[in-house]
Amino acid sequence: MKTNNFPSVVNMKKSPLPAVTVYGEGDAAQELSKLLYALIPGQQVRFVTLSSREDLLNEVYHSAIVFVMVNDPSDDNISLAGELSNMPGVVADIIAITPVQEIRQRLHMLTYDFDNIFNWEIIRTEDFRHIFVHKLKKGVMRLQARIQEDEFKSFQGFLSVSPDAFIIFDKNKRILFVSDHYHKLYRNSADALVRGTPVAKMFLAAAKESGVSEDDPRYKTAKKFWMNLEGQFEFHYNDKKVLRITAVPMPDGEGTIVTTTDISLYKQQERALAEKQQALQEALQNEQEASALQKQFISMVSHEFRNPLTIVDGNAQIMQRRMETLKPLEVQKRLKTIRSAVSRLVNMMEAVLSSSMLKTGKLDLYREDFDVGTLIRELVQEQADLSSRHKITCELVYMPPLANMDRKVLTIILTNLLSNAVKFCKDNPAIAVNARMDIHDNLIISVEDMGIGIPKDELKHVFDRFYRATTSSGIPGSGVGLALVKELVTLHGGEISVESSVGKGTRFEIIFHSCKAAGTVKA
Amino acid sequence: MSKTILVIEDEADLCDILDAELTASGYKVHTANNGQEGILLLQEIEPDLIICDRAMPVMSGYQLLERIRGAYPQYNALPFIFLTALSDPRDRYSVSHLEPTAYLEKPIDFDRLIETIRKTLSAK
Repeated sequence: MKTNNFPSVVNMKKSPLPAVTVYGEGDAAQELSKLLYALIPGQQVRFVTLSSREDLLNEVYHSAIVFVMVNDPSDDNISLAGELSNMPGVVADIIAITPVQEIRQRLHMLTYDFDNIFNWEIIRTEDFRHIFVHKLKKGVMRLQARIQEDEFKSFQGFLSVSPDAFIIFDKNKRILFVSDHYHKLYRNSADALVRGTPVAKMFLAAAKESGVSEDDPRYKTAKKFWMNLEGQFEFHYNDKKVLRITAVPMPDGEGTIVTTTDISLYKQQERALAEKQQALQEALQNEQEASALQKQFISMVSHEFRNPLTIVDGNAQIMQRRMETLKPLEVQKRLKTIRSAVSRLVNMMEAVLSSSMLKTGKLDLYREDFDVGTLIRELVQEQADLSSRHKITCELVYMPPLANMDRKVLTIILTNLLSNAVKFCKDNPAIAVNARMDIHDNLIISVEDMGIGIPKDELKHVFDRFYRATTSSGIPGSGVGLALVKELVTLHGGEISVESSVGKGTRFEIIFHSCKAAGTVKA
Repeated sequence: MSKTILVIEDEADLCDILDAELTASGYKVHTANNGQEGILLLQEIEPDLIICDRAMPVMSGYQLLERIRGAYPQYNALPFIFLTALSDPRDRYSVSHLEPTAYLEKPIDFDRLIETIRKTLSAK
């Protein structure tokens, strides 16, 4: 007698035990079921007797063998074999059990796609027991194969849905399985990505395809990981792509799963976040610096305002107290000093206002066509009136009658440069102002003094707010003027440059672009 | 004999005003543009009183007074009037330990300045 050991189906947790299904109405079906059970007691199979077609359609999927009771060729059940065996995933033999004796009729019944046809007499024979056991065994094996196939398909489905690439090694570190993503990752290494390939060979192929040679520091890290199949490492490609590669032992310890995750985006976001954080940090620092500068500025401004005010008030007091005895020349001198101090105050006020307007974005350019040459001459004359000790020359060449500029902005810029020139060349009275319009309609203005000059290494700071050159000590000032000048020149779409030599003098040059009068038409 | 006043102030115009007004009030006036010049002049002219700006380049009024009160015992009691353009009231306290005779804020009220000088010098 043959043994009745059926192979048990792996991973059957989710699938029910294989069924021996009997379908038919009434006692005959029940009887057959009992009979079959008696043939193979104690096996890992279920015996199911069904009379509903719908139940059968569900159960057939888990069945290793199905018996259908067919009373005669006109029985409705006769069509069941064809129907069931056409269902995808159905692996059971569909066997007809019939009382029909006539061989011709039974043969006809077989043409309805039954795998076999038996009558009751045969069922009770020892031969049938053999046939049944054999067919059941085959059925269980087919069921097992189908379940494994199902599971493999869903496993592959999971892998393909996952953005990660997988590669599975057996306990001898040979490839068991490589996911599609992995194949796509290493298109040119297909030969090394087949089942049975040792990990070392696979690694060499992947390294070659990634363009990583042995002297590359990444090679060592990668090699260490692959040879041990343990832990995790990040692989940075030459472009911005970054992969995180992780080895996890299989649940049964019979191998290792290596997952490869593309973390380029994550890294990119991490970098962006870090950059943002740094920008915030810098903004905060700027804010703190600005606040400190503001405090410094307020104290400086109040100091710089008080001194000219003292001069105005002091002179006024002198004239008030000694009006009768003061000589006209002395009065003239006092009045001039007062005017000079007031002019200093006005400049400073303009500077403070304009710079705060620039800061808040409230200063808009107002360009118009006007006689720029005359304005430059007037400003130079004004400065000359205030500082009679200085000799300011003003030379204008190629100056058109009208140019398109912002009158107020140009006034502030020139006044600041001129008062600086006067301030910083007390001993050398010559100051030269030059202005010309070049053929590209750029207005170029330079202000040059022969004063104390600015040390070379400090030149780059002269336009910084509150910066005062070391040579400027003893000369009143707030360090706001040139910063403002630079901002205004920039606002006007121009550039300012400075050359200087200590003890010899300083020269500022400004280029204002596109100053052609809007109304002028070239002849 | 008229008393001698040393004026130390970096603003030339202001120096000039102080010189004119104090001279007109009957004092003999010497001027210096910063603390260092002031110290040199001090020993030369032996003034009866010093009027000094608070913030100056090279050597500030604070540094000057510190020097006078420390390094020159003979000037420990020399009357010293601060002029300041600084607005922060804490500046006044920062020099109080050096015991200046007065601490006047700019713009200067000459009536007050001359009254302070007169009282200080007559008490001496």
